[in-house]
Amino acid sequence: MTADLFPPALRAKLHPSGPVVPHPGPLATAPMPETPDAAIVQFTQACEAVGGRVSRAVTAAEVAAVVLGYLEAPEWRLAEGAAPFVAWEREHLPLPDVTALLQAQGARQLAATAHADQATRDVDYRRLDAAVVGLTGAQAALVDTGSIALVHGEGRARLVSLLPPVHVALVPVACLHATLGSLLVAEPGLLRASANVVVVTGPSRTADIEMTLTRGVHGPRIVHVVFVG
Amino acid sequence: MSDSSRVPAGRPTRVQLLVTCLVDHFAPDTAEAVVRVLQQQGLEVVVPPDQTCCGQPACNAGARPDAIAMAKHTIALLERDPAPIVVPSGSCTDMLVHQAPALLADDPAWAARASAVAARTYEFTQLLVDVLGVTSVPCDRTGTLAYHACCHGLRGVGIDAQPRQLLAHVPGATVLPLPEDDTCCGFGGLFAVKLPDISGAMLDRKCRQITASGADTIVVTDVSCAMHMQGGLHRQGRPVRVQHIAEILGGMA
Amino acid sequence: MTQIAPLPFYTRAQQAIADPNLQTALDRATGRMVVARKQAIAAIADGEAARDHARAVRAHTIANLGQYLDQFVEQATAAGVHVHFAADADAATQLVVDIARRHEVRRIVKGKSMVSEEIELNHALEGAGMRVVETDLGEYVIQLDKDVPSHIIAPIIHKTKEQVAETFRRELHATDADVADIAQMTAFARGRLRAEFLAADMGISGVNFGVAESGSLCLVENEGNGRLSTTMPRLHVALMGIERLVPTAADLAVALRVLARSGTGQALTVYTNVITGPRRPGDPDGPSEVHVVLVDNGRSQMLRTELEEILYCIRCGACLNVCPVYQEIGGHAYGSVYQGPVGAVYTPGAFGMGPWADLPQASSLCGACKEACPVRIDIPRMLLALRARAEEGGHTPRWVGRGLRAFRLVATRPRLFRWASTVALRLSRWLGPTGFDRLPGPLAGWTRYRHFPPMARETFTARRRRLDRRQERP
Repeated sequence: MTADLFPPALRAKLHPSGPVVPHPGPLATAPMPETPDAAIVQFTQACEAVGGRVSRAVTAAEVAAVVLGYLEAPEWRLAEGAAPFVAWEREHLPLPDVTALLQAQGARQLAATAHADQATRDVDYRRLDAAVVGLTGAQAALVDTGSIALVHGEGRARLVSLLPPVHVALVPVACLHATLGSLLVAEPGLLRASANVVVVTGPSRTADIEMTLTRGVHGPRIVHVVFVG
Repeated sequence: MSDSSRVPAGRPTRVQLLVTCLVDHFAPDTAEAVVRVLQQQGLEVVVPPDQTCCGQPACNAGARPDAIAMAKHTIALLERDPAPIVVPSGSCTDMLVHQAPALLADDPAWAARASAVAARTYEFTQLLVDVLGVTSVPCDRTGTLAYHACCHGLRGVGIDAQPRQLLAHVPGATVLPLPEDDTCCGFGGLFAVKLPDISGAMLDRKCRQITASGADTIVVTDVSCAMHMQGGLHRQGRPVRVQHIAEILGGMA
Repeated sequence: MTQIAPLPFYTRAQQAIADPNLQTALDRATGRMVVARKQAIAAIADGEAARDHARAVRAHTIANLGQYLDQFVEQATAAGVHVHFAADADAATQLVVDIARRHEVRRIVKGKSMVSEEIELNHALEGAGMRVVETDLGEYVIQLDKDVPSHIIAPIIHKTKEQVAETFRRELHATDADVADIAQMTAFARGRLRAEFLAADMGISGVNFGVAESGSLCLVENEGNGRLSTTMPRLHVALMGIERLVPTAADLAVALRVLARSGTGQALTVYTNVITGPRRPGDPDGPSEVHVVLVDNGRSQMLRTELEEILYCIRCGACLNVCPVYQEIGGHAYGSVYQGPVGAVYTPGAFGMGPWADLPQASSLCGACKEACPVRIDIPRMLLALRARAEEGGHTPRWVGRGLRAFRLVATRPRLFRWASTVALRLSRWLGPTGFDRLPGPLAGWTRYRHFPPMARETFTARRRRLDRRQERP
């Protein structure tokens, strides 16, 4: 099938020629800090350096308080109360009861699905665009860059971490990895397992105008990582 | 980046001086200073006859046949004597050590000859520091000096620590930092006359940094860059001098 | 690439040097990025090892490009991606226009893609009656102004904030409050572009790296417009140069480790997107169809030649930032989508010497680019190779070649050289005992900015010969 794709003239040049250039093998990367606490400290330094926020929580109530803090902030709260939020499905959150708790406290959860069919998609997007907080889990947290890896799929919408101005990500402490390289080596099937994997390193930013840093361009202005457990 | 595998096994007693065409025609006293400094170190300095040009300008202009012809001529005159070769120019050293062997790599008669000469060719400060182990040369220079790292020497041959060490040990002089001292001065060989406005803009930037440094003398390893910078400073009426490091170490006023 | 600037390179360079706004902008941008790069590479203990490793990965990939392209095509297809090949710019634009037409596309949102600029895709899509909106903030401003980006990574580095405000006022009817400061301007653009994302039928993106083992497309960005363009519209079309591959996910991590650090000094860009096919059954969002167009357009011209190494490039922009020539003339002067040191090799390599012979001459061969390159590409070596091609192909001014040939004839005949030397010294000292402030002909360029020093009375070698002769006489 590939013979069809490339014309003969190009195919001739694609054959290896000249001396053999071997693959260099794996690159040893930075080691993991000794303890999970040390790892979280290092992660926090890296994450805060790029404008992210980090905190820890044990219970769903603690997490709900963090989210409500944003939903009820003067900047976003609505006349009738807390702003709405979107979230991954409960089975994909490390503390599944958070969304129910939030609703119990008066915050409205909007559906996070964007149907493939065009007409409903437009309606879906407009709805999603009203959310102030997007709540997700995460596959992993990367210590050396302060990043989180989001694996999208059923029950885990991409737009939840993209459209709202605030992204709150719940990461189990056990999911810490030293670097992106060590994550991809530890989970070799990761990229193939999903139509979309995104590594998020801090809030959306640009310095296009006069090299002046502005946060929250198209993606969230606030990225808040909550280590759970 | 200094290639320590090129350092000879024993301390040489004799060296051949490749003067370089620019030093020969514009700064012969610099060559005298080089000889003086090396003789002070107990070396016999011989000057092989029939030197003309190593071919670097032709190489940089893409005139390969011309570059090859001049490189061969230079290699032939240097290989007669087994003594190491010293060159008061980072760029000409780069030509002999890297460019000439690359140009002659596919020539079975010349490839090995080019490599053999390359293996024992050293820039002046490289010879002093890396080969002879000398970091301090007695001289009575005073005033304020700042070092500009000429590009081919710096990135081609690995010359940086050596001249800085030698300058740091000039007892009567103060070494000041030069902002962006590893940024090209804009000479670039024929570039200076083929694209003079770009060269001039780069020179202007360099002159501003030279003025900002407050030094009374800028020290370099290449007379070509010195001519370009001095020429610009002169045109702008700035009193700063640009001198080859041999002139400092060799006690030239 | 049909886009050739109307004025010759050197004229554009002169204009750039004389433009104070551009000069300020270039200083501001490149200076900061150079410092950031050094800090970022130094910040990781394995910085230099990572560069060596990244080079080895790219070298291995290019040497075995056939194998990895085949693997990529196979895996991407298995993941549900429609894979196409375009031999040149026209084929590429035709493919994309056809895909758009088939899907009755009216509105397109676009993320940053150098390949799309290379093939002049917007022009073709607009010609087919579609509306294309650039969503990268800098590119959005460029599009509104009908301007051209001046730097791979920072497209509006040549504009002041006042100029951007004026663009928003003029083209988008922004009020003074909307453009009061940079934060306001950004928020204003966010609002406008959000509406575009919501309404678009198709998203176009580039690809930073294709991953052969999984058929994945990796896209890096800071703003989020890349994610939005490749998630919200029902159709995503990605443009990828045939050389932009890495073998495995682990190799991707290595390339990413040096990419952002070298370009802007960040450890990683804000978003590293990896796309492996369209939305899967059960997925709540994502495009229904993903296409990737593999573009040749001159890349294969360089494969298996002395210019092949330029294909290792990962498009970080570090070489532009450290280049002292780029620092003075900016990106527009190159007249090509690919600018700076990489552009000076890539452009004539891919598109031929003809209109591009000037670019490899615009260098003092200082080597800063090679020193900064995260995959250690020897750009100076290839500039020299291109200069040799230019010389052999008659693309250089006659006086240079003739002058060097004459010089060589003399320099390979030592006695003739010594005679010519003596003549030159005498003549020059007679005409200019204290040097020259004006030289004739092609050498006039020197004296435009510099005094030309006097030649010596006698060369060192002549003095040596004279003294040796004196000693020989009893």
